[in-house]
Amino acid sequence: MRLPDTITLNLFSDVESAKHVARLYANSIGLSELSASEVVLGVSEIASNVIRHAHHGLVHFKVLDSKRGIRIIITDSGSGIEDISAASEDGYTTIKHSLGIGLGVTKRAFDYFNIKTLPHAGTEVIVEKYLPIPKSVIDYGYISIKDQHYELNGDLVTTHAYHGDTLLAAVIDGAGQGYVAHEIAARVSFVISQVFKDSLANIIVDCDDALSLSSEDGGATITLIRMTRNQLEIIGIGDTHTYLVREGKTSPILHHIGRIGMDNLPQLRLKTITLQKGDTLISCTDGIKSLPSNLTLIPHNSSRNQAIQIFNRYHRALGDATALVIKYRGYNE
Amino acid sequence: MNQNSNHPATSDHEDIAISTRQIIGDSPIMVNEIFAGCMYTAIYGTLDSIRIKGLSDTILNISSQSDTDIIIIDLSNIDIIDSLIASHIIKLNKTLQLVGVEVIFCGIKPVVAQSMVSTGVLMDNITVLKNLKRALTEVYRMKGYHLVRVDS
Repeated sequence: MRLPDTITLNLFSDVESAKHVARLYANSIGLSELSASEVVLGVSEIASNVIRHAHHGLVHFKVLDSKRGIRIIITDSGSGIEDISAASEDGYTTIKHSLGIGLGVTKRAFDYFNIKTLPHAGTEVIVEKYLPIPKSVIDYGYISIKDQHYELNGDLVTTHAYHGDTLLAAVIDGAGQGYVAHEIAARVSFVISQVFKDSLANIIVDCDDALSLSSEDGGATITLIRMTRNQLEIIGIGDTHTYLVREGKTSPILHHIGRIGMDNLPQLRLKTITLQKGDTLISCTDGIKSLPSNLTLIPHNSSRNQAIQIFNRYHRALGDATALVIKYRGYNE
Repeated sequence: MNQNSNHPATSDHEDIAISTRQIIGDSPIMVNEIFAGCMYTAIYGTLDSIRIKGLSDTILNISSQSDTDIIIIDLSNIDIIDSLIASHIIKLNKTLQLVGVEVIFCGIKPVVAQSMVSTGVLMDNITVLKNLKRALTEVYRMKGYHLVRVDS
C-alpha cells in the first residue's frame, strides 16, 4: 500500500488524518506500539498547534533511507513563535485552554526534534523517530567510575543512537576532578546532544566554542566516535585513548595533542575506518592505563562486561576512569 | 485502480468527511443510567474542543434534570491522549465536580498511559479506575451496596 506523503492541515479534523497517517508510517517500519503511540501523540500536538495558531499547514511524511526511521516535517504559514526557548518550556502558552506543554511533550515524543521559525514567515518543525539499533548489529556498553576522593565524576560518556543504524558516542574527560570537571563534561555532553547529527569536526568546534565561553578553566579531552552501517569515524583530542581490536590485535588510534576549550584547537583530521564484522572499538580516559596490543577479553561477554573487565585490570589508583566498548557485529545482508 | 492515480488528496477528503460528521454531532453521544444516580458514557473517536463541549453539555443537562451524582466516563476507545485532550478531560472533570457530580474515569489503555508518562502529558487530580467493572464496584460501594449471589 502506498501511503500518502502529505496531509494538508486546514481544519481540526485534518489533525485526525495526520494522526492516522502517522500511525501507518510508524507501523510500516515496525516501530513498537509505544513508539508508534508517541509518534501519533507528537504529531497530534504539533498539528493541533498549527490549526490553533496558524490555521493552515502541511504535514510531510518520509521513511528514512535506512528504512529504520521516519521523518515528519510540519510547516505552517503562521506568524512564527517569537520565543522558541520559552515556548518549549512546559507551562508556556498563549492560548488559555491548552495546558501549555505541547512543545515539551512533542520533544519527548520523538528521538530528534528541530524547530525553525521566522517572525511572519511561519514555523517548520522536523521530528524523527527511529528503531533501536539491534544489539546483534552494534553492542555498546561502558563503565565510568569517579576518583574516590571526590563527590562527582569528571568523566562522562554520552551516546546518541539515531537513524536506526548510526551510533554517535563521546568519551569526555573534564580537566581535573570533582565538581568543576563534572561541570565541564556535562557542558560538552549538552552541546553534543544539540548537534549530534553534525560532522564530527563541527561537533568538536561547537564544544570548543562552548567551553571557551564558559567560566570553568581547564577544558576537556574527548574521543568522538560515529559508527554507521560499515564505517567508523573518529576524532580524538588529548589523553583519552582509543583502540581498534581486529582479529585479536589491539592497535591504538592516533589522537590529536591538546584539549578542547583552550582556544588552540588543532587542525582536525577525521580518521575513517571501514568496519569488518567482529571489530571492537575501545575508548578510555586517562584513568585507565594504556591497553596492551595482546589484550584478551572474554570473547562472548557483553560489551558492558568487557568494559568492566578493562576497568578492573587497567585502572589507575587515582583519577576518574572510564572505558567504553563498542562491538560491531554487522548486518546479515 | 492504478496505484499512481490513487492521489493522497482523495483519501484525505474521505477522512475529513468522516471526522466532520463526528464533529457536527452526527454520531450522537450516548449517556445512560446504569445504576441509581449513576450515569455511564464512553468517549471514542476524535475528541476535540467542539465534541467535548457537546459531551459536557449533555452530561450537565442530564445530571441537573435527574438525581445523578456519579458519572463513569470510559476512555477505553481512545488511542491517544495528548495534552489538548488531557486538558479537556481535566476541565470536564472540574466542571462536573462544581455541580456536585463525582467523576470516575476508567479503561485507559496501557500503551496510552505509557505514552502519556514518557512524553509528560499530565492528568493529575482525577479519579481513574482500571476498567468499567472496577468503576461499577466503586459506585456500589459509594452508594452503600455490595453485590451478593441470590442463593447465598
